[in-house]
Amino acid sequence: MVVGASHAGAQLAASLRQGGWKGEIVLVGDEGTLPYQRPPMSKAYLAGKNTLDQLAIRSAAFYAKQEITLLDDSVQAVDRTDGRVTLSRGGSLAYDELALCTGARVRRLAAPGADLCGVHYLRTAADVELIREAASPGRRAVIIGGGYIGLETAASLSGLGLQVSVLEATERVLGRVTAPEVSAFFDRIHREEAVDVRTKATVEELVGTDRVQGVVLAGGETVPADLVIIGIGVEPNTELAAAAGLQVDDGVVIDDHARTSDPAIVAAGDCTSHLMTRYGRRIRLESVSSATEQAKVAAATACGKSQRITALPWFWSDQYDVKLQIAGINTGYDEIVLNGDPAEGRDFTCYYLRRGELIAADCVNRPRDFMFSKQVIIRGGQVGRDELALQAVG
Amino acid sequence: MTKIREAITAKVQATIPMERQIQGAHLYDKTRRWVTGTNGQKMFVESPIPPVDDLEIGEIDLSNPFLYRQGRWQSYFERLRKEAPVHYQANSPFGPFWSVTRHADIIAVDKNHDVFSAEPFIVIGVPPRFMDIEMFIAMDPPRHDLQRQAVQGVVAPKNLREMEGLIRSRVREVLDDLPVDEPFDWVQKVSVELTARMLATLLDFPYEQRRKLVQWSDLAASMEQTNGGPSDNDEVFAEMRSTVRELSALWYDKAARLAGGEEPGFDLITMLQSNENTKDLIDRPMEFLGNLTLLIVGGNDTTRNSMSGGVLALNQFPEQFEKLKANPDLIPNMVSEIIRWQTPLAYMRRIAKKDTILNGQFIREGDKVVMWYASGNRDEAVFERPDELIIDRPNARNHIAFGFGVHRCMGNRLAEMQLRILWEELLTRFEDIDVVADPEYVQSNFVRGISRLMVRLTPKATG
Repeated sequence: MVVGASHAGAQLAASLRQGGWKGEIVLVGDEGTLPYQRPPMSKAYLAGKNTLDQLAIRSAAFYAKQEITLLDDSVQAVDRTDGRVTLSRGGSLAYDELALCTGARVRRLAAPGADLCGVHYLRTAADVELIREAASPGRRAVIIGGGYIGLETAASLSGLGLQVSVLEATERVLGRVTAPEVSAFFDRIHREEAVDVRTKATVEELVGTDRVQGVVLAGGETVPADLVIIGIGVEPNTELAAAAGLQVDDGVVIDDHARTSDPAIVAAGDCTSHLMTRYGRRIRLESVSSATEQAKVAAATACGKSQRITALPWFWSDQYDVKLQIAGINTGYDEIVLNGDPAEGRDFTCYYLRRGELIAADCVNRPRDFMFSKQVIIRGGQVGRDELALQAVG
Repeated sequence: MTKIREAITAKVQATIPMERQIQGAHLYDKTRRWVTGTNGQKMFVESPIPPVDDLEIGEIDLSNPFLYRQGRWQSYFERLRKEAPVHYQANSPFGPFWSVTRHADIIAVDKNHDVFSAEPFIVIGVPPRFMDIEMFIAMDPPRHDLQRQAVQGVVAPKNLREMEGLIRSRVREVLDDLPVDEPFDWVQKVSVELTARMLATLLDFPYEQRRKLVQWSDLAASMEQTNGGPSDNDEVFAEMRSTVRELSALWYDKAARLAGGEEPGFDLITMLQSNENTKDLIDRPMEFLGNLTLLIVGGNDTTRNSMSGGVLALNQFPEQFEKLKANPDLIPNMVSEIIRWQTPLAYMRRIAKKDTILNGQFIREGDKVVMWYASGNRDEAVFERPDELIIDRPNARNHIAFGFGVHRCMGNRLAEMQLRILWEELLTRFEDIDVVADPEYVQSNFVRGISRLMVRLTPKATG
């Protein structure tokens, strides 16, 4: 039984079958759709370039052929002693192996007026459809949060012809995840695309009569808005695991084999927290590549095989004609090396080093550098600073 | 006057053995190099190519054979597409030429063979004197049509269906022998090996000597006078003589077996022999050599570099590899997308047969016009996020890597089939194909080739 028809869930179900799982496979999801690719939600799907059918991870026929049952429901509770789950729509199901792929949900904004009509979050296809309906050219969109989701949404909506403002509470966009130079680059390109980026902009409240009409900032200024999208991060869905008595620490804790603290339960995807030896700490990732890998490892574990989570995490973000590819995690860096100039043009790479070793890289329109960085980090990060600065372009 | 010269050439070619002719051409070329003092001198020495924004528009020279290797080509093409889509370079080492860089303009030129002639060559430069072998890719209708028709059957749908099983079993042999969990060169062990096997099959060439075809093809496709490649002319001539020897032997062997009542095979040579227009091709040596070379080169570099390029692209855009693994039904569309992304041949050249106007530029009769497929396939007006590999790109099939019009690649279905089978078989065996070192690229303005691609394979978990 797989809980959560997410990227990880769909992969896990398919991998179980491939790995020789003979029994029944039930994939429980409550979005009412086939499992779909989530990254395009704030990018191509929001921009209206894909249909949901095109984004389905596998077709309905695939699940039928693999005898994977898709159950439109959600799980309320797990009874580990009996090996059963209780379903929200009534009834319960027994399991031999349980896989938790419950994902993450958006963090809610705790400001007055956040529940007004016209205020959206962006995580699911349903969210995006609502935003798309409201996103007619010329309207004013205010995005709260200058992280990846916020900036991608800004790029997509500005492409649809809306007037877009981005409100970031801290000093710079992407402040939590990149070097100041990279933040400055994204700040610049959004301004070049006529997006109004405001940093140190703390939201006091959202105002409007029946619909949202503006966002009031701490200084008292009101930014007018026809629609507001809040993108201030996600929280892992760990309640089910916690209530079942599994160890939870920012995410459902899993080992290298994707096992939770209960050996009969595996977990994969955005809901998990995994000790990464490469970085020497437990990390919760929001990454498709990691979700996929964890799901494969979890399926192997459930089938009684031994595989380990080892891959280097990587991420990407599409904004306008910019593709940012990120290799590794830069937390704890003490030095950066730039190749190319983030202050001009639209291609450069920012390498992050810790004690002289490469630990991560932000590559802007530089797929060759991205590939190179991944290799170096996987090999242990030893690299000359000159080599980084002089890497071939492209 | 031309008629008489053609007649004399034909007579000479029919009387003097092919090997002698090549020897003569070699001697001529040596003398030329000696007289001009260029012997042992390279036309091209690699130096760093400046960012495109440091240049005036007229200085942009797409014939630089290091543009692809140094990764500058995207920005060069992009600037021309934006600022000068039909661009004149007056002073290239290959002489003056026009560059056409937008998708729509390229199609307009490629379709219009009445105005834009493929004769006498389809590369920017000129082959060594007396080495101007003739091939139908560089002929206009009606001569082109007759010769192409003669060999087209080898890649007819029926023949392809028959070949599919054979190709699959050869792909499996190659893949099953690959080392796992240790680095090796994908180009040599997979791309070259598979294309060599395919060529040997198409020509019914002695199987154990299949690498000779590759060696020959590589030399023929990398002459510096034609496209800025690194081939040494003495080596090319020597190799050419041995090729001619072996291909003629193959021809006569086939003819003898056919005459002896043997069942005709479904290979290229047999096809040429059984067609009215090409049955005495052996008496027109430069055409004989030309058309066989065309089919060898055409089936070699192109497929090879698409096989390597696919692996490279999926490493540069790993989210696409994840997408592929999650849904192998995307393989056929991905094959088109890989061919678009790689565009293994950068361009084809034409000559204006009369004064004409193309996208506002006046082109004179006799001017060289180069259609940069590699640029058309990155045209932002046609392809969204053109520099990215997007395996489920809806219009991937609108790429022009195969050309457009009468010269559209004859082997396109075969190429697609080979790539499709390769990826189908790869996905069942390997979890990951990781590029573990920076790739090395070919020196050429024509072939967009990858000469070395170190990878490590992770087998699928079993048991």
